[in-house]
Amino acid sequence: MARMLRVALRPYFLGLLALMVVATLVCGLLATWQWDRAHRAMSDQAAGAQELGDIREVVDIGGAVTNEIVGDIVTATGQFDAEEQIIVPGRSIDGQDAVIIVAALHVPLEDGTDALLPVARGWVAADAVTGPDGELDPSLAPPVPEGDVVVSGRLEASEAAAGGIEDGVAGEIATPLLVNVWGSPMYSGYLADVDPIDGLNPMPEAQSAFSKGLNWQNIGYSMQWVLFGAFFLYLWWRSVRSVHLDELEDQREAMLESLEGGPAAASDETSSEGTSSDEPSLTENSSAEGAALRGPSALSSATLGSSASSSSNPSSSTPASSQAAPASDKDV
Amino acid sequence: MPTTRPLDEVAVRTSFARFRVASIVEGIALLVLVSIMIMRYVVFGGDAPFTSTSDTWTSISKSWSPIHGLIYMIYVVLGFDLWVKMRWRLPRMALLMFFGVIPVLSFFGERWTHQAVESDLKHRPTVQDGEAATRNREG
Repeated sequence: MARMLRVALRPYFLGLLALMVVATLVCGLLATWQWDRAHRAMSDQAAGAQELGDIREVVDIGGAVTNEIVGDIVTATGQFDAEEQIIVPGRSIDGQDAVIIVAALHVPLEDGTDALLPVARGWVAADAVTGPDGELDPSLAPPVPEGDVVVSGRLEASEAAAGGIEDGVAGEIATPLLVNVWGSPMYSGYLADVDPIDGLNPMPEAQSAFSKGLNWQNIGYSMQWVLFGAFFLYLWWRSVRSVHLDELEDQREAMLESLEGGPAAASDETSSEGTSSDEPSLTENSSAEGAALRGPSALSSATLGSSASSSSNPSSSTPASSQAAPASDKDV
Repeated sequence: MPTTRPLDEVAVRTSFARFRVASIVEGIALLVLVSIMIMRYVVFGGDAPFTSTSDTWTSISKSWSPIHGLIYMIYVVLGFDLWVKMRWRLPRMALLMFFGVIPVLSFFGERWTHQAVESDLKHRPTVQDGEAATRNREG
C-alpha cells in the first residue's frame, strides 16, 4: 500500500488528481443546483403567500405567472364591466357542487390603455345560479361592483383550456379562452379574490401538479451528478492502481529472470530497463521504489556471481568493469 | 504502455462481446431517437424552433428519450468495463463513450474497437499465454 501511495504521489498522478477533483467539484455544484431545483417549489410554498403589491409591478401583460409567484397576494385597481362576467361550473368545493364567478377587471396602465385581468370573484352553490328551467344562468350571479374597486387576491396561473365558452359558461378559468370573449391585452394569469363581497365564498387555493412539492425528476438528476462526480475519483484511483500493478509485475518478472538466468541475465535485464549498471545509485528516471526492488536483484546477482567463480566473468558484478566493457554482456 | 502484466483474454473477450451488443443496440436506439426528433421538430415543427404541432410525436419523444438515456448509460458502463479490462489509456475511454453520441458512429466504433482488442491480444502478453507456456514447460 505504501508503494501504491508513492505511485499516487508522482507529479503525473497528482496533476491527474487535481483535474479529477475539479471535475468532481463541478459535478457537486451541478448536483446542488438540481437539488435546489427539486426543492424550490417546496421551499417557496413553505415560505407562504407573500404580499407582492400592485399587479402592474409584479407581472407584465402576457408575462408568465411562474411557480415562484403563484399563490402570492397581489392587489389590482380598476373597474369591472357588467357585460364581462362568466361562470365556471362543475367544481367541487367543500363537498358542494360549486360554480366560480369570473369577471374582467380593467386595469389602467401608465400609457393610458387598459389591460384585462380575470378575477375569480368567489364561488356560489350551483343552485344559486340555476334558473327555474334547471339550466345554469350566468345572469343570476351576483353582479359586479360599479366604479373603481381595489381587489386583493392570490395570483394564480391560467387553467388549461379544454372546452370553450358558450353563453357565459366556461369549463375552465383559462385566459386563452377568455381573451377570445373579452379581448386583449390580458394578463396570462388570474386573481383569486380572498375577500369577496357579500354572497360569494372565498376561492380555495388552486392546486396543480406543478406546485405540489418535491420534484423527483430533479432529485434523480442530482443523484446522477453525484454518481458522475464519484466516478472521476474512482477513475483516478483505478489509474494509479493499474500503473502500480504494472510495475509490480515488471519487477516480479525482472526478479524471476535474474534468479533463473543468473548474473548475465540479471545484468541484461537492468540494462534493458535503461540503467547502465547494477549500481544502487540509479539513473534519474527510475523511482525510489524501483531502486528498492532492484536492490535484491542486484544483490542476488552479486552473490550468485561471487559463488560461481566470479573471476571468470568479471563484467557483470563490479560496477566499474560493466561500465568499462558494456558490449560484452549486451549481446544476449 | 509497455508492460509485462498480462491481459486476461477470456475476460477481455467476454467484455468485448457485451460491449459489441451494447454498441449495436445504442446505435439503433440513437437512430430511432433522431427519427423521432425529426418527426417532432421538422416534419411536424411549429413556427418557432423546437416547437411541435404534433401531440403524438411529442409524447412518443417524451417516452423514448429516457429509454434511450438508459440504453446509453448501459453502453457507457459496458464501454468502461472493456476499457478497464484492456487497461487502455484515459483518452480511449472518452473515445469509446463518444462513439455512442454521434448517430451511426457506434457501428464503426464497434469495428474499430474490435480491431484494437484483437491487435492488443496479439501483441500484449495474456494470462492464457502464460498458462500455455507453463504447460509446455511441464509437458
